[in-house]
Amino acid sequence: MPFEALDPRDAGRLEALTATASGAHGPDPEACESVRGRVDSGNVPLLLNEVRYALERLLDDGTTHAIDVRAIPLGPGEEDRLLDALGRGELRAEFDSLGRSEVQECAYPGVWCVTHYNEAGHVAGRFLEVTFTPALLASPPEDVRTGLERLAAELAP
Amino acid sequence: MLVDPRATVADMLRARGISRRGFMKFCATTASLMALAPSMTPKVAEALQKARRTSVIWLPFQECTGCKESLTRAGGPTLENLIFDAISLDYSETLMAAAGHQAEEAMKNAIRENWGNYLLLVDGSLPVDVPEYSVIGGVSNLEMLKEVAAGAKAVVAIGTCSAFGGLPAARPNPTGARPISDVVKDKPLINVPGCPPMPIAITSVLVHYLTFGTLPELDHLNRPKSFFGQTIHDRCYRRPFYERGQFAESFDDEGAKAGWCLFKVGCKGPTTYNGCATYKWNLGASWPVESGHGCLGCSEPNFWDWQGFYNPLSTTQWGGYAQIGAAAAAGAAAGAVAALAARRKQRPVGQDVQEEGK
Ligand code: SF4
Repeated sequence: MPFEALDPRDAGRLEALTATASGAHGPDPEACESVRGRVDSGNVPLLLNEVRYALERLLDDGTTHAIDVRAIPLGPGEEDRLLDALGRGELRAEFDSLGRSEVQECAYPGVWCVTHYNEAGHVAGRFLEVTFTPALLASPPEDVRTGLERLAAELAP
Repeated sequence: MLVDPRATVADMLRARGISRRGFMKFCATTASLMALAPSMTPKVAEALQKARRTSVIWLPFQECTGCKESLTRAGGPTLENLIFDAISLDYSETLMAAAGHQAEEAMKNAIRENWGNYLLLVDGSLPVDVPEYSVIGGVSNLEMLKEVAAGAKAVVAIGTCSAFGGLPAARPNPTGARPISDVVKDKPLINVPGCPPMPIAITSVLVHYLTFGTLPELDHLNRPKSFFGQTIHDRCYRRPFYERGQFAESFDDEGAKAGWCLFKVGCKGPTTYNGCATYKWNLGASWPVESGHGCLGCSEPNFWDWQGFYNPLSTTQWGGYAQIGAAAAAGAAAGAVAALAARRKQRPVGQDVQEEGK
């Protein structure tokens, strides 16, 4: 079975769910997951295969690829399982504009997980990019121009 | 509210000190909102560079404000920008600071200054039989809709009440509640149903118009295909259980606890076109099926009277659910059967439910 059913005797976790569901801190994720069951929609391996073929194309002819993770129907816990499967590589960058954004290299070089948070700190978009360098890491020419103007103004006598 | 007609969305963001990188972030999440592939982000950026602010008038009729609650609690990154920068919400009784005569004045000004170019959003149905049941400042909803729609570029019916009549139209429908489409005949009309609609469904229509200056492609019920193109069942993560014939028989049995398919406890996912299974609610936290309750079918015409929320679809719609259960147990073919049946069973707006049952 591709899920772990809730043990009906495990009343403690159910109580935790009921107690926290109406509380200020929201439901306990662990208790929630135990009630929903760990369901396998089959989409995680499909996405990993998509990433694999995208990496092959990146090496073959430099074609880049991106996946909007939030546009894929995933069951409870599957997004985390996908991210766990991709792991974390050595590079991570952050910027703050309209909320924080994080560019994390995955354990497989060439695969990047770009997560945009909104101003309240909630995930607003998550993308897997298969590329040598995510475009967001480069300094945009418009910003370079503005920066240059600022520096020139600072140096003006 | 004064609108600088020359300011583009990019100008607005720049004026707020948003960097180019922030603008690209805005474009990436905007593309996602419109259900576009991430590869379309540069195109969205190019279009938003030139897009001008759009005047929006939002009229509330027979409604519960749930649709606005849905939008304003979306918490998406684009919301504040969308409301305050990218569109000019010139009239919305619920969201605007002005009230009474000032609010009416703001609407008149917006209509005058943007005649032929503003977007009209409407939530709530129209009490057609007894117009006096719902009036704003002494003007009936019916009269107001006709007046304001006349100068609109397009009309967007937000929520199932304005799209299909909704709960006010439930039997015995004392006000004679009807959808906006009964009155607006000569303008492009987009239905964004749902009770309430998903915030992303509302914003996707607005940003599509804002970005490309056109309306999204619509289905036969005037719903945007990008969002309402597939059934809940098509995208449901519990679908493997349906295919294997593993159903919860009640809300507290072992099947329900194990997360099995909710078809037998009334899930209307197979006949409901909406995006909940993909985009989920409350910032992606969950959605009805994930929380253990079947889909009610709230984005479909007549969902309120169609049949009991807890009756399996097949008992009234698909000719005996032993049949569908057997088909499901038999394997993957059932998925195609369900999808086909769903398409066949889609009913036109306003079709009398009682007649259908005969
Ligand atoms: S019937 Fe409902 S719960 Fe079952 S797979 Fe379809 S949408 Fe999901």
